[in-house]
Amino acid sequence: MSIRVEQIQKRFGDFTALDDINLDVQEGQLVGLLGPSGSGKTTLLRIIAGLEKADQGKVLFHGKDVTDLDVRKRKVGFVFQQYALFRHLTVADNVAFGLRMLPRKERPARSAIRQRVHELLDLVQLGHLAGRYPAQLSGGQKQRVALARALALKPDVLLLDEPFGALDAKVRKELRRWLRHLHEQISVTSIFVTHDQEEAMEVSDQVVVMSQGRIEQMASPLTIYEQPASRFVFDFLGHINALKGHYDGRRWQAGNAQLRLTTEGACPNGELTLYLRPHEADLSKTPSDSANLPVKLGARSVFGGTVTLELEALGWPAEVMEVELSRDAWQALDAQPGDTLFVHPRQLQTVTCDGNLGPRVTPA
Amino acid sequence: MHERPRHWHQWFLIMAAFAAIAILLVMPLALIFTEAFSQGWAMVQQNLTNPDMLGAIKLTLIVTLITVPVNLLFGILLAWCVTRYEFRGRKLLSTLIDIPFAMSPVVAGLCYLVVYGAQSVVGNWFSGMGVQLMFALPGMVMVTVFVTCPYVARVLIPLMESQGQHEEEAAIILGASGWQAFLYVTLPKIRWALLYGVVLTNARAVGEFGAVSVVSGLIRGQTLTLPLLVQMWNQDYNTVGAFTAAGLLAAMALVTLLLKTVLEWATQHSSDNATEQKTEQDTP
Amino acid sequence: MPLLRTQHSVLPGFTLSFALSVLFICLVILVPLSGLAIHVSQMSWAQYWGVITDPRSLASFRVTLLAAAGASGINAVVGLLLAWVITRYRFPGRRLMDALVDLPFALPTAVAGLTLSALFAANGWLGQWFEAVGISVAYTPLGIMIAMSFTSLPFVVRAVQPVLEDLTPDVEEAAATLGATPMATFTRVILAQLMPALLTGTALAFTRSLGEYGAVIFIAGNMPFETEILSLLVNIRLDEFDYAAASALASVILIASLVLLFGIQLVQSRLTRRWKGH
Repeated sequence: MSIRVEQIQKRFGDFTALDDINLDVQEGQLVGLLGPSGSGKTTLLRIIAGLEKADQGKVLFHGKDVTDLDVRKRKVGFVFQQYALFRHLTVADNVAFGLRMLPRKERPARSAIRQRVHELLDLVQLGHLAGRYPAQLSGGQKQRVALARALALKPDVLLLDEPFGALDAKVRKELRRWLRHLHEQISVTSIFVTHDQEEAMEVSDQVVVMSQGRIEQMASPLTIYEQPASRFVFDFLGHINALKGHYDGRRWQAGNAQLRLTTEGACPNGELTLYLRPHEADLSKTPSDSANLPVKLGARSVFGGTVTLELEALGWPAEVMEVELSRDAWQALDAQPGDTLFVHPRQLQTVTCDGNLGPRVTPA
Repeated sequence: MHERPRHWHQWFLIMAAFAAIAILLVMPLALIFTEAFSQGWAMVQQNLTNPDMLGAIKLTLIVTLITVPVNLLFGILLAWCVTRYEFRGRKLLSTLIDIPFAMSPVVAGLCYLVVYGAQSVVGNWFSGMGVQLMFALPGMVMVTVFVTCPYVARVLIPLMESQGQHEEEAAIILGASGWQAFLYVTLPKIRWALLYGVVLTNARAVGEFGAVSVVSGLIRGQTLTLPLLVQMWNQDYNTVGAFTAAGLLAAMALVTLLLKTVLEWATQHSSDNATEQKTEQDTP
Repeated sequence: MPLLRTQHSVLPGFTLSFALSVLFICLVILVPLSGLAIHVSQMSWAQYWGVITDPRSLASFRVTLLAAAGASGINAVVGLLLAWVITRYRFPGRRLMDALVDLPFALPTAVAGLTLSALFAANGWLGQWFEAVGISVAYTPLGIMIAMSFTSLPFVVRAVQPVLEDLTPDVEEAAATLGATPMATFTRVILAQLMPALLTGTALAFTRSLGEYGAVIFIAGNMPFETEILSLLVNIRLDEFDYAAASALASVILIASLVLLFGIQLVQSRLTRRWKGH
């Protein structure tokens, strides 16, 4: 079932939670709503579910207007952030709840309900815990019970609010792979809310980046990363180094640091900020013709295959920079803390003085 | 947080606390039963079977049995309304309910006398219908409802506020009607607190003195509840009788304390369960 | 009632629960209160002023206020002590002590009054010791104070206890590492943080004491001008069928307690907002 959101507006008092939201979700897709807290992503999810009413705009399921349709009739499955499991019911009774609430003539027989609950618990690999109470489960298990409960009524749409928010790092990772896998099995149109970039990028078919009640970009994870539509999106996807300086049409300069850039006239002369992703630069002990960014090597941290280095600008104004090297490159460099090194950006994102994204450039 | 006391000044504080409890609470309690039994068991039995005593017990039970269900129902409605919806005047509503706590019971009784007494328009209309409100059972029930109406709501509101409404929303999404969501989801979550509120309401309803004394008219054998009987017999210099009635009420108070402790434990225990995390390793 | 609602909720039942709650509050609380107000407003200002400034009324104001203030003072100290001991130390009888603190709420006030008057009578278990040093308790203002502090004891304990439980030891440890003496830690760190709760509890105890009736009349002796509290005077005027005087006096207690109630709630919500940061 496809989902379409048209011109949704929502205010809470003076605060604009959602401002003219338009969204199209194809049937069977898994879409991640990504944004910082307060960006309106949870409100949007609750409006799609029917838990919240928009001030303006429409929600359509498969082309049918459901804006004023009662929650109970929307056929949505919803997984709450803190799971909202019924604490006084066992795992099996939690999953069976929706089936038992059906009007008598639609309600399956007891044995059929038991059968269905059994299937669902097997699907989420919790068959052995059917008799437990929510308080006796771990966070990850509760999460899966909540999912099974939401799937019990065979919803057309599955909505998940920060599904992995309350879990620790290791469990999160395992659980999101599992969710991806589960979605491939049952392929129900799904939307989930997250503030974790990695999570959104790994799990979703499409990512919707939100900020301050607006959609900044909606695209596949790869497009979002390689062609961010706005400065906010670029900023939000992982750490960046911002280098502030001056551009004269050929050279970018900040103090005694300089880069030779060709922007083919896309950037006007004057103030120009460059964004550098930590993994898009090399280090060496000598400057080159195109790049002269002297830095002093500070702390380093080794994790897995990469080494993260803290670099202090030498003789030009910049915040402490962060650059990631592969372990091999780090060993080849053979540097000690305190050494003077030179940064060689492989790719830079320009940000013009009006705050918009310019072209991506390579020093040459 | 809790530590075993180590220093002498810590023991001194504990001893001082015990002394305060003994003087302020335990001795008054012990005295009630000592006085009641001072003339022997036969006298206690005689007092307990006195028609005035039996009448007072019966009247007290009637007043309580009407008051508690009324306030139970109202308390649930108010708590539901205040904790489940956002609306203008929400704060005001939950403040107004506190008024009976702050008011002198005598003033409460007076207010009812002024509005529902025989001289008033309402009271006049009722007496025209042949119903006497004040100086009779209806008035006593009315003031008791007034005095005890905050208890259930006050116990439920903070609990329901802290529990939030996601579970109810989940039930609604799963197709439950509002009534089903309340019955199958809310009620099981608040049952201990509800019982706790009932115990408190009950204790106050049985023991209310000031407000009831104003509207009861103190007619012997007709409008005396147990606390009023205590006063009446005390004025008659029937000290043992007064202490026997007091002993009954004190026994109720002790049962109340016991139930209260058990229910507090139960409420805490069930909410601990809800927040408890991680009891088993994750095996996705 | 879409006009009233500021936010949508999927839970049904707003109209029903709102309408019934408001109806109940109106019938049970607001109508009787406004009845009293109307009754009082029918008096002329001179009449009203006459009742209130009558020497007997003034004496009863004085007795009630002084006794309530004294009782609240006692309870601030004893209540803080009990709350501290119950939350801080583990010792045999702690749970029993915790449960017994609520006895004054559970015990009918008439029963409390009866037993306290016997306990502190000149020949009573405790009264005889006071008598030996020349202090009469029963049938004096001192007795009133004791009865009031009995019935309002739990307020301070129950207000302070949760705050004390939330005070984590690390704050005290931090103070100690910064060189504070135990006494300074207590007054500057602990007491300072307990202050709002302690004040709230004491104010609640004071409000309750102002209106206390049942426990007091047994032990007070009820001598006009000396040991007659305001609530009793209201009741006496009622027995004389002087509804006007009774209402005028009642309005004074009522206004005082409502001001205290709303004042306490206002201060509390301010403080929670400041401390919780929103």
